[in-house]
Amino acid sequence: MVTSNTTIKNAGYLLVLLPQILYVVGTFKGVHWLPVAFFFLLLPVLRYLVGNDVSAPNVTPSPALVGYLRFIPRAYVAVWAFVLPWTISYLGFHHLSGWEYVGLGLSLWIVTSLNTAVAHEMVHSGGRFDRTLGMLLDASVGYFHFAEEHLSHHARTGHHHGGDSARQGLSLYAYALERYLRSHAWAWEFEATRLKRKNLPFWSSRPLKRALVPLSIATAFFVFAGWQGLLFYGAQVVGAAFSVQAITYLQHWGLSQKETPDLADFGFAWEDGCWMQACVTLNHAYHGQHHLSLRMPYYKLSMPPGALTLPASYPVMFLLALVPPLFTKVMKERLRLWLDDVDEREAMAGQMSCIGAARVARMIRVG
Amino acid sequence: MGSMNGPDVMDLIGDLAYCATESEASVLVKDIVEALGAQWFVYTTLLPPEFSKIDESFRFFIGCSPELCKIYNKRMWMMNDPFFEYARMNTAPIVGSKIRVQSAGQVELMKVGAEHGFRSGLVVPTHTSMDANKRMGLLYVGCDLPEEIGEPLLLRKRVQFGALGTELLHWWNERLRVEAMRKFSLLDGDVELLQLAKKGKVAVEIAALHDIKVAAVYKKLNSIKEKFDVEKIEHAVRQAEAQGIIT
Repeated sequence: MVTSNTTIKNAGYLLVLLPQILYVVGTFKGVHWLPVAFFFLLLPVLRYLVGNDVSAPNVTPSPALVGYLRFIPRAYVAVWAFVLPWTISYLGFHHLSGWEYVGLGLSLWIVTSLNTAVAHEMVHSGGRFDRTLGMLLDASVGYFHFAEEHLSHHARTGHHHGGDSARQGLSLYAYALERYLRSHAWAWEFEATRLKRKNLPFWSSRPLKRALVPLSIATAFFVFAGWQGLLFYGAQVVGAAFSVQAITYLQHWGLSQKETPDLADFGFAWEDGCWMQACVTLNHAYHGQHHLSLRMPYYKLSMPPGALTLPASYPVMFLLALVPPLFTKVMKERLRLWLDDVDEREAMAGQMSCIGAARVARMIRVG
Repeated sequence: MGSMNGPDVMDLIGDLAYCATESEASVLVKDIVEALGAQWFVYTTLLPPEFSKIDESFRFFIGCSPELCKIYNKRMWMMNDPFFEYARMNTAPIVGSKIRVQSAGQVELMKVGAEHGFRSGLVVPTHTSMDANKRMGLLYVGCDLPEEIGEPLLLRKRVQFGALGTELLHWWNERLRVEAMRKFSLLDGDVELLQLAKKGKVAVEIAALHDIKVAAVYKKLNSIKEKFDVEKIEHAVRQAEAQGIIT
């Protein structure tokens, strides 16, 4: 079985490069919507065909394997270092229709959203080089304060007041705006405290320096592609910021020590076991495990037995979250099932009925 | 595991601190207990009854027959456990046969324990500092050997079992402290402020200590009061003490 083989999974991590490849190929071929179709249509259907990830994590990988696995996020950054200027030049030298702009923009948004997931992995790395690359990757999509705000995210896991767990009933839109503003407040406050402690001037601020990255990129878009190019990049910055909040919303929705103490040993997070998604996002959906062991690299993460899992994979849940009343019903029912029936937890974690449509529909009915 | 020598077991005991979940810790404890020559264990930690209702503060790891635990809970032996009585008054490890049983219920408890693998046992009490939360830990390890053979073997490893009991108490204390911090959504900075408030420092002094504005201190103190849902910071301090968040 493909999904239980660790070697195949290790090879599968190269799929993280797929969205960028699809983006370039799609743009060349004039199929500007290709990555969007891959993410929102093909990925959920592939879950049905491929199934859930049941492979063992790389507990004690050989040095050569570690080298390969650590190379993958770096390769991602290297490809991005080509894709980004290529996008600027493409916009500068091609005339696009309105729809083509929208298609290209949404396709790049899939890539920039994935950037934040890969950057997250690198920011947690033990190596300075990888951490720097991760921060630059985030900064390139305008989320230059990620490293600082993420410290707060981990410090507040499972908190009811001021934490990143969305209160049940709070819409994604309200959450995203509120959290984005809060994330800046946290990041700048953290940095101000650090500067004060070290007696450093304000221009030593790390997020301030990193802010120069998106500013430079925005300037390049403007110089080569004019106002339309600048607007295009601005939309990417907004889109990537929204994606970070949306993923956080999905990962921690409704879970805190006060409301769901049973989730303490699961990192107060919703997991998702889709094999394809695990490969494409470098196990980003094994989020509770990550919260329990912050320094554990992506290739050592796996689905914990009996974990609380999302009713469907990220693309489906993202679309569902755009309709807040439906999303709330589905999530409430899923959480209730998990909390009420300890014996069912294992079975729930192993569910892989495709897009999760049947489960989502049932929960809407019941909820 | 069975062939492990002393230092390796002590390393394993040290590894407890890195266990992120109860199941991880429980599996490790079982390995350690077996490496030290015992077969079964039960670890319980609780606050003395005068500080909290037993069932509210009670936490445990079980590494023995689930049947025994069922009987124990069903008959509510927790209220009448001779090992707890010993642990409340003592710190030295002691073999099970030396524990004085004073009631028919306690005799029954010992008998049922022996039937479920605890023919030989060692009781290891541990205590938190008197000025801290006074939480107590009780590690009971056992094996199916007759007591005249099994108990001397277990007693010979009392230092290692004592270390295990101490580490388990540290593990649970830290875990419960973190849980309580999460329950009240507290950050390290909030705990620091609560400690200062407990020492009687007022906003002006805290502001001077932290080199921040007095208004910022009030803002932080108000946020703490909101998290505890209390009117006065003294009430928050009291709750934080009761929960083991500050000492």
